[in-house]
Amino acid sequence: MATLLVITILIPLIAGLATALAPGLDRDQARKIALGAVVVTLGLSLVLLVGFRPEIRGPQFAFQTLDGHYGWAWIAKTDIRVAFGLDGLSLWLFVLTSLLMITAVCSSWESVSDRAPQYYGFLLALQTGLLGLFASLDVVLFYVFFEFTLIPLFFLIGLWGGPKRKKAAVTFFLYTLAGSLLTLLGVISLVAVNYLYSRGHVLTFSIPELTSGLAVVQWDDWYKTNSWTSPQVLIFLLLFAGFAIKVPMFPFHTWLPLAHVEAPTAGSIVLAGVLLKVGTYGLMRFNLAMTPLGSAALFPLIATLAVAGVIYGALAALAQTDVKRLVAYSSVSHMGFIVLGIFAMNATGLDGAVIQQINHGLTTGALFACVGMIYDRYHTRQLADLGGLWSRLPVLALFLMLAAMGSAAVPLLCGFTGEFPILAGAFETSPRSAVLAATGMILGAAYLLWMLRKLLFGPLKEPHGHTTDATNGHHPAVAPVGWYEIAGLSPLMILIVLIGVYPRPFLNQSKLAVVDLVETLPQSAVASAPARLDPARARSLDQNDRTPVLSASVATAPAASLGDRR
Amino acid sequence: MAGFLIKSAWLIPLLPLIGAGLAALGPKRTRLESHIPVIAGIGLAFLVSLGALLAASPEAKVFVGSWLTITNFDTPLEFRVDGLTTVMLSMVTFVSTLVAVFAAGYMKGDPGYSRFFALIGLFVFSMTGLVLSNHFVLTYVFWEGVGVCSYLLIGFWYTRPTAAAAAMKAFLVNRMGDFGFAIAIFWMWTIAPGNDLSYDTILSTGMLETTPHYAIVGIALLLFWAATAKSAQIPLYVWLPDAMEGPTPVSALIHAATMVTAGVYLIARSTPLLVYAPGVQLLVAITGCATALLSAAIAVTQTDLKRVLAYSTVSQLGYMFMALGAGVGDVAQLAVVAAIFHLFTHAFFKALLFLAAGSVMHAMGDVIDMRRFGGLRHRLPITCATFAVGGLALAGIFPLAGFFSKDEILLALGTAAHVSEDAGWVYGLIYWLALFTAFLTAFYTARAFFWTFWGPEKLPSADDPGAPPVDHDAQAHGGDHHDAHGHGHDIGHESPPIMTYPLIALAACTILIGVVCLGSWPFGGPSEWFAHKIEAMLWFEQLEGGEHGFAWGTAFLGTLAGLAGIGLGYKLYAEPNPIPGDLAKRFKPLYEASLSKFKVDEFYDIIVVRPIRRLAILCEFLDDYLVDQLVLGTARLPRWLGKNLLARYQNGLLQSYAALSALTVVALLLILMLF
Repeated sequence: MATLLVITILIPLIAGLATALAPGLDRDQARKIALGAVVVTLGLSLVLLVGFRPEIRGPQFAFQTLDGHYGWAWIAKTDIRVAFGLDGLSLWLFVLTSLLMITAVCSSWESVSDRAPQYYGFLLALQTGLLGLFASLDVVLFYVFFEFTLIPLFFLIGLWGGPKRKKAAVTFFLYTLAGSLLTLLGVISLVAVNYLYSRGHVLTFSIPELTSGLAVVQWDDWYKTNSWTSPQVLIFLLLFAGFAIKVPMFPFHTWLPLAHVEAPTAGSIVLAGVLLKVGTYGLMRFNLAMTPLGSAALFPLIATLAVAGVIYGALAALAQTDVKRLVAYSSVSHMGFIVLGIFAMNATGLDGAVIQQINHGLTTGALFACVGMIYDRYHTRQLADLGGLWSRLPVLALFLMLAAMGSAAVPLLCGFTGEFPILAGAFETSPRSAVLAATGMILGAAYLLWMLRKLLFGPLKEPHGHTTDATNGHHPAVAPVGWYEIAGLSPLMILIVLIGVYPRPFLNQSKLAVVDLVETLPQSAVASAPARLDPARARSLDQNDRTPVLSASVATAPAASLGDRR
Repeated sequence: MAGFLIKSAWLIPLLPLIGAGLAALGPKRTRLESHIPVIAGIGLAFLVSLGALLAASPEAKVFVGSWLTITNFDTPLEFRVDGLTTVMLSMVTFVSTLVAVFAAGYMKGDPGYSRFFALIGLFVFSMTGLVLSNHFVLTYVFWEGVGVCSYLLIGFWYTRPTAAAAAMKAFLVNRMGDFGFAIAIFWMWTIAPGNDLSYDTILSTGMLETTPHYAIVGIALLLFWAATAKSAQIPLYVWLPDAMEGPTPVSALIHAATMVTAGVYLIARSTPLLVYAPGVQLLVAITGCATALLSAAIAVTQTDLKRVLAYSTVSQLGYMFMALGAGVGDVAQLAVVAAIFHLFTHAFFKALLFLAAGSVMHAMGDVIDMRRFGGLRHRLPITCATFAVGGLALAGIFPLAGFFSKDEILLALGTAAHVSEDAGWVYGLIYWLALFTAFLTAFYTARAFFWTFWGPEKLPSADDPGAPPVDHDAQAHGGDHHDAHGHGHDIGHESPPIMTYPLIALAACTILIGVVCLGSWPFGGPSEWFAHKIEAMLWFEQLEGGEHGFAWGTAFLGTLAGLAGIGLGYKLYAEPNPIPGDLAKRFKPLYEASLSKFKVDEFYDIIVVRPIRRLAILCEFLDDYLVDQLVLGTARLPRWLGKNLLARYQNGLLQSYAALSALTVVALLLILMLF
């Protein structure tokens, strides 16, 4: 299985290189190769999904040496290794990447004709970057993929984008690069701390080893969080810089609407669907897991930014006249929810955040694909120019409606299974921020329904030159929804319903990883907040063990919680 | 046997869902004849509900499986089969079946026929799930589910801009209520032992007595806030009158008989919690009273028959909340019984009235403005007779169903006025206002009836002064759903049997419920049969109860108010005469205030909608000109530095940036290796 994982990661890259470099490929051949490659990758990802054992701790499908190290040596002297593996936090993101790539290829089927082989080459390279990123078990490897994903996306936006594509590409690139350099500094500091203060001076770049090692380093200052210059707080902020820009968190989000509006549809799908999750994934994997005390200390700041993002993003979305910008701002709002869930620092919020990453990928990916379908037909994205498309394109109406409802967290569709636990978990830690964030539920419904009302309801309204008016035969009729569009979107629709109706198997895969992560968090910081809310609750806590699952696993955990070792 | 009947309760939501699935996704045949699977599904669900009604007991519940399971929390798919639930279930499934049969005739020829029935099936699924749920999270799920179905059904004729606006308004106003419900659930979550949010735990005495008072008050307030949205009470009632944009069967089923009662149901269900917060109960009663009075005052001047009925629904829901709010001290049991009894009877006669209005609309070629027709009693005899039965019940005339349930509510209010120590006078005031509302109710019902069915015959014609020009617009815009349900026939004929039979059945039920009550009257209370059913409700025995006999005085006053209203309506509207016009002129400010619905929509537009729009535009502006510039400005700082210090490396070529970052990585690694 370890080999299979590596093969899965490499297939898109190989296919991509072949497509881009092979001489004389025409558009049709290129897109068929691309579709074949992403379908095979998805198939292999599903094999991995089926083979994943949710009851096993730690990374799976990883090559492990006899002395317990993961992967193969890369830069031998420093023990930087090429190590891949999946655990509960990364598994779904890995599968989501494979799935959304199908939507991305399908949505480019007819719309991309210019330099198609190179286009698909970059798209497939981007997939390898993302798959490798989520599967990395080594910080340097992670960082290499983290930076690598920028390059294909830069070219996708810069070469195949809209009129302002150059500016968008450069802004996007510089913005994220600036942040990621700070993140690199943070990552290296983590390695250094672990090296300098761990028992026996272990120099390791392995993510699992760092996570467990940093929890028990013998350095008193590491456990102090009383000032801005405390090591955990400082490193947290360094790591946070890059990930917050990726997420993007308010106020570092301004690159996003620009990049989305200029990006080709497939670029938007991957950008919103997967690339933003790199940010939240990093926050979980590094910030929360490796600097838990820093996370707890900076909770007020992070929660404020997250809630501000939820409300601000929703309000900004409400004011948009371009539907693609509207969906872009909705991402700012929804990603705020996910960050809030992560830093709620309890299993409820984290469970919600893990599944909400997938939900957001599905719904926003689908929304961007739908917007792309509209743009391909009418060459406009202005809400004022369009209306009543339900009568013209009923299949699109169904897709758009489902995606919007899923995004608005309507129960029995996917969004609810993430948003509700996130808010519940946040309420436990900080009722105020949960209540404020919950207003995002109302505002979210407002801009999504506004979008639906403008696009689907009302009398049919199409820009000039796109009517099927019989008296005027010069203009081509609006193309009906094609098979490739249905093929690209149906899997997302099915999952949007499935996760909503039967969320158990989806949550089950990540359960253990979440429990393990929550164990490493400073429990006192979490428990104190609700006590503030309700003094009499302490009594009921004594009578009833509120977290049976947690306490049971603490007893058997191999890596004991912070307090034990200190 | 009882065990079996209870265990099959899980079929009740499932059967309509299967019907909806067949209507939407089934083979072509079931999609063309989509009313058949849906009516069959709901009808069968009704039979199962009857079985459950017979077997209901407070403790009965069915565990189906677990739904949303996360590390610390489990949402079981568990159904409570107690008296309250089964009474609601029987009503919901029965009325739904009849409405679906009616709709099979009414919607005939509509291009969205199968979509309509699929949504109706989905709605019944959500509504039955809502009343069956034994867990607050699950209740929330179905609570929003009915909201979504309502959204899709109000906007059913999606080419109509008014329908699109009404659908969106309904969903958003309901979302504001859901917001309160969600916060209430999160709050319960933090105080419930073992994160158990089932009714058994949250509403138990043991739980409630250890919960701090402010938490109970907070949760009760939030639940009531949620209920005001779903059940259209002040301040969130504004969506319901607009919801009449949907097809008339939808108005009858969802916006009169079933969905809008969900809020009443939730508060009735939570009464064990509410009795710990008498202040909130008083608020519930005051809100109910204000809503009932306000909407009745609006209803008296509306000329759109469906709108009259819509405001009447808001008003009657206010009545139910008045009853629930009166549940102080030992009135608690009576209050719940009275509210649910009125909910039950109201569902029948209000569905009847709406369907009759739909029948009128069908016969008048989609015209519903009472100024444009009149004297229809000869042309539409069945519709007229059934409307009369429903109207008399709504006016609370003996011995129809409405008389008994309204009497119970007045009785509860009157008793509360004596029992309540601090707020007795408030309940006394509410009692008299409720009587006045009863008078208004009878008046506007009579007005609608006589204006539509009495007097000289008049059919709508295109050159009516009130004829809306909208029709032409719709055609100009190529609205292919104009005259959406294709009434191709001539106007002015009685509806086909598939539509009149449901009317007759509902009218029969309205009379029958009255007769059943009469059987035990006046000895031992008029609604004893019914009360026994509701008393088999979870934690009902935990509520305080006392002996509250039938009060002749109340019954007399209630009847007097009803008869006075009907008399006045007859005097003013049975024959065309100038009195209403004169009155409107004499009380011009009052008349215009009522006609313009007290400008509440405009008020909300100014204090809610516009500020949010402005804030949104401000955010958009800030984003472009402040946040972006700020960040770009910060980004320019290094460039400025670079120009002066590192200009050689700042060549703007991407490759060199990439190379630089790679070099940095290597350098840092080297540093690490060296140390």
